[in-house]
Amino acid sequence: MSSSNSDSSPRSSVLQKNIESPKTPGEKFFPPFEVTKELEAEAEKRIAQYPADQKRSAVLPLLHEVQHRHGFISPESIEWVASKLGIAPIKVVEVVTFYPGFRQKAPGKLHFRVCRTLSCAMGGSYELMDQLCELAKIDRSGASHGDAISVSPCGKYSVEFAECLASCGTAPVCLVNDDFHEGVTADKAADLIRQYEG
Amino acid sequence: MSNITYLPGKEPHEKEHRLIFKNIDRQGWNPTITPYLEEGGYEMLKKALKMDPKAIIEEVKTSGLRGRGGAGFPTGIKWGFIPPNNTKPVYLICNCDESEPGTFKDRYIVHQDPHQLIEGMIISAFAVGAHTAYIYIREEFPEAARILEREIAAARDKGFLGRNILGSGFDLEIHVHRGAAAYICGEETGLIESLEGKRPYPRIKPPYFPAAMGLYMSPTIVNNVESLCHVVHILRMGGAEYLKLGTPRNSGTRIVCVSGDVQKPGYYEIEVGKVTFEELLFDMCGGPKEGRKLKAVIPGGSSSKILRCDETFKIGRGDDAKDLTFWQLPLDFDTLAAAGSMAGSGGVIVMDDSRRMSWVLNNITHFYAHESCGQCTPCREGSTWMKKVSDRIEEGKATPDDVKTLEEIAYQIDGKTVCAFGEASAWPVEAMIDKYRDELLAETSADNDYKSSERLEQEKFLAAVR
Repeated sequence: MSSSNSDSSPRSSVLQKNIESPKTPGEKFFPPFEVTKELEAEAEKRIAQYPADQKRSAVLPLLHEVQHRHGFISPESIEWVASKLGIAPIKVVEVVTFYPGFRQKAPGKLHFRVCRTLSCAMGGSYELMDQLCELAKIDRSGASHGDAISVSPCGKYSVEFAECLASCGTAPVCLVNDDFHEGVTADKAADLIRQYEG
Repeated sequence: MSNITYLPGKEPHEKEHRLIFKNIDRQGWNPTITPYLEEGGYEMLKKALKMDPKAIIEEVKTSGLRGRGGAGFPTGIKWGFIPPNNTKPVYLICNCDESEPGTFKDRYIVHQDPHQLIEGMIISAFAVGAHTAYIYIREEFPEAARILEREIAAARDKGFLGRNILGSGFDLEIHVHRGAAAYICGEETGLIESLEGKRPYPRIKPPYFPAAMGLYMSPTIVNNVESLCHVVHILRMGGAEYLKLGTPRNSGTRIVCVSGDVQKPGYYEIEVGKVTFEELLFDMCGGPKEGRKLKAVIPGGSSSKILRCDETFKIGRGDDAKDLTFWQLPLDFDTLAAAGSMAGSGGVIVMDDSRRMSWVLNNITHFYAHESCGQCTPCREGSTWMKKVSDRIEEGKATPDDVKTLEEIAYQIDGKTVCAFGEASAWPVEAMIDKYRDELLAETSADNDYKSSERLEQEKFLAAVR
């Protein structure tokens, strides 16, 4: 075995890439994953919403609980969700890797999701994104379909393009964490960020 | 009925008919159960529980209600598809995944008037025999998910949900299930797969019609938010009265969402077929922006085929055939289908003469390439390929042949996939090239010699083996 290459076989490194959470500057704003009594209680509540023999249905609600508390889905949380639902971890991985709504790396403390679809693009959402990146000092050039989130070096801000957020009449729109903002043209970007400072 | 006033600047236009959106932007209204009850809310539930469920299905059939999610399939007929000798549990699912670009109506119902939806769901569940119902709500509506859960609990407290509702013997629980930002979960079988905890790969129909084999392979009715709200009003008016609204075979009201290059974008609830594009875009939306002319309109969400504002359409057959200009087209399901497009989800996207169609098309192909679930080869490969070709057309790097290639790719997807996403991704491309071929070709050049990364790899390989 080559001594300089400490990676495992090609097959396991592909799986590894699908599970691991790359480090980001935003990590410090989120508590590390931990199985608490509150999390367990919430999980039980969600599992009870589905027939007793269909616990797998609770995979999305449980992942949302994890992401809400810890900012993103880590390998440890994947294993916990799988064991809680009695399913193989790969069944959780296939869901986490498919849905854009689940993040596998920490976003910034403030995560901006700007709509890029037709009406918002016509309304200036790309200009809004450029302005947000400039103000927050974010370099978005590395973003791709599989790695859509770009985080600022300080970790306070992150951006992502979202697809149609269903508010085309008040374009351009964006979500800041769970808050929805309408009519946010590029000239309003500074005010938008300022709302959340201090 | 108390006097209704609306927030300043949000008053409905006189050509609107506010049925579903009666309480949206209303002064003094809030999403709790209190104002809803004060207005006679849940009286229709009480009426429904005293009826034979089959009679309720008949009322909905009589009403002619067509699904408001995009397909326009008659709701009463869908409900009737549950197998007569069924012994499995029946499920009702409210499709609140509203993700069709250009559409923004369900958002307001779930944020501002959730009890209309809840009452509609309880009546519908009673009619189809469901004792468990789910609201599948898109992830990007986090506040609405909280509102719905809170208001479902409030309805439960009043005895409208739970066991033996209002002493009728009917049990029902409604649960909220949040999605995770995937457009394909708006497809009813994709939604069902997602609810089952899997990747939302749609199922092929036949045989997987949800009414026969749906959630957990049990009979399942999936209806759009707005459709379920209409059920309350059908109970109140009776199916025959409801049928008088709108136009023949296109009954009732629907919420039309206008966005893009108009003075007053927004939502407008109209009687189906009673408003033309001219009335909608000029009278109600104030026409184009200063100094601009309207160029093209996508009438039913981005999946529908684009219409040119200067086009004339032959509508009808034989003695009924007539030529209608774009402006004269009434907004209804059948006329827009006859015009070669569709009413779809009611998302009207307007483009003026400042827009380059190559840019518009490119924005749309990016959407479908992103949202393709990847299950079917024509769509998975084709949607990404269409994005790449439309990229180079928009960037001015394409040859004239590229427009032909793009068109061919679209036709290779259309009709060849497990679900209608294939058509949804192909139709915008087919229509844009059909209607604006010259404009797209004008941005190409035979002198362009674009080499994709795949072509460069291929040439490197061929050079190496020679």
